[in-house]
Amino acid sequence: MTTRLSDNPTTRLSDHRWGMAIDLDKCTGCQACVVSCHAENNVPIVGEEEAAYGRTAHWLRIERYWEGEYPNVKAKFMPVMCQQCTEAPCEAVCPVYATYHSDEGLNGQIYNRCIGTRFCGSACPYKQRMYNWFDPVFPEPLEQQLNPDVTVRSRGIMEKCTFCVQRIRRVKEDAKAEGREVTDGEIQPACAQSCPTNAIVFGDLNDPESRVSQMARSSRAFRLLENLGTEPGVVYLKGGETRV
Amino acid sequence: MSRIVSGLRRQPVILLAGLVLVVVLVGGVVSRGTAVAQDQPLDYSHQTHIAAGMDCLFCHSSATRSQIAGVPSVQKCMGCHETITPESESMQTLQGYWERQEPIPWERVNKQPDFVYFSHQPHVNSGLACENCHGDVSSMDQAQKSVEMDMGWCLDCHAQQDEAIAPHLWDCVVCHQ
Repeated sequence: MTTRLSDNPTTRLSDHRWGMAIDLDKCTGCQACVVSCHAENNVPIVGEEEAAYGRTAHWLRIERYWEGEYPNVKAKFMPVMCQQCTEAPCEAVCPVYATYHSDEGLNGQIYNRCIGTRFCGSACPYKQRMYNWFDPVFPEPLEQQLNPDVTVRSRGIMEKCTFCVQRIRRVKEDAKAEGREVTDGEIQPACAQSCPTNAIVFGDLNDPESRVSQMARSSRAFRLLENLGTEPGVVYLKGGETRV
Repeated sequence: MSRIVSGLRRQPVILLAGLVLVVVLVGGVVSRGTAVAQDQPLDYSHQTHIAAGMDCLFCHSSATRSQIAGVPSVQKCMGCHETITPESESMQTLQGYWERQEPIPWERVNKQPDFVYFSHQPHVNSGLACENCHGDVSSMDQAQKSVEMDMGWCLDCHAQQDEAIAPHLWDCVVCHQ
């Protein structure tokens, strides 16, 4: 049993537990979330050759499942990003505490602490951690749209989905400046914002009335590789069938 | 004497290494926290402006509502200096930027690395005075770095605050991006 910072009684526990719900019935596999994630988080492009070595760089991928034989083919899509596990296997193996658990349920990744052992990548059962094998490249004109709120990770650094922590931070600061609480739906990670079918919903799982909490209570709700006991912060709603 | 010299000859590598170590250590101690004025494109005095009764936020007006405090536009400078001392040498330089419609290429004094998130907004709005971090700018002609703004410095100050007002910053993602 490891002791987490959030177990420390001297630290205040947060009011929030950020979580995400993804309705697989609504996902059409359009990959708008993948593109917007790249744009928001300065995720580099590795190119065809590196991708062939399995060095693809995405914080969010669409898993695609084909079922049946032509012409009766069914396609199923599933967006998979860092599951922000409550009992995260990646956190326990980091020798320098570059990845840790925040009391708001975020699995933080601190780039300037990371020394690139890649232990976390090996430990992650969702294969959602990405290692920078080379210095990042942003071919023209992509360098024009780099997000100033996110570091460009250099070679030798592990990175992953952060639930767009920069957007969470911004909304919380704005709400505090206006002397109010963060309202449900105010924080939108790039993937949720760009989803044309609103399949991805982000919010506070500690608030029983939030949309994400309501979705998490659905009878269709399940978590990815639930039997591992990682207690992910991402809830999927079981999809039916999408015919193509 | 000859024994000492020959002794030194036998140990030139150690001597050199020792010398380098001393230079590095002394250099580190001296450079840390030392105010070094940078060359600025315009002869601007903070002291004069504050002595004239101006508030920091008159020019750095974004500090209460943004991450950055902001550097005033040439238009803002000209708003006053079209009438106040327009003949002085530095005002002529300013006039040049105004006529060419160019921003003044100020040299940044306080820099934070790319992976650090800092916002003026919550600090200024919680009542923290500018001089707590920036030193007594009202006595500086040219703005100088008064303190090395590193992580320990942030944490030290936050640890002394009431947690209801300022977080104690044990959560890394508050400041790291």
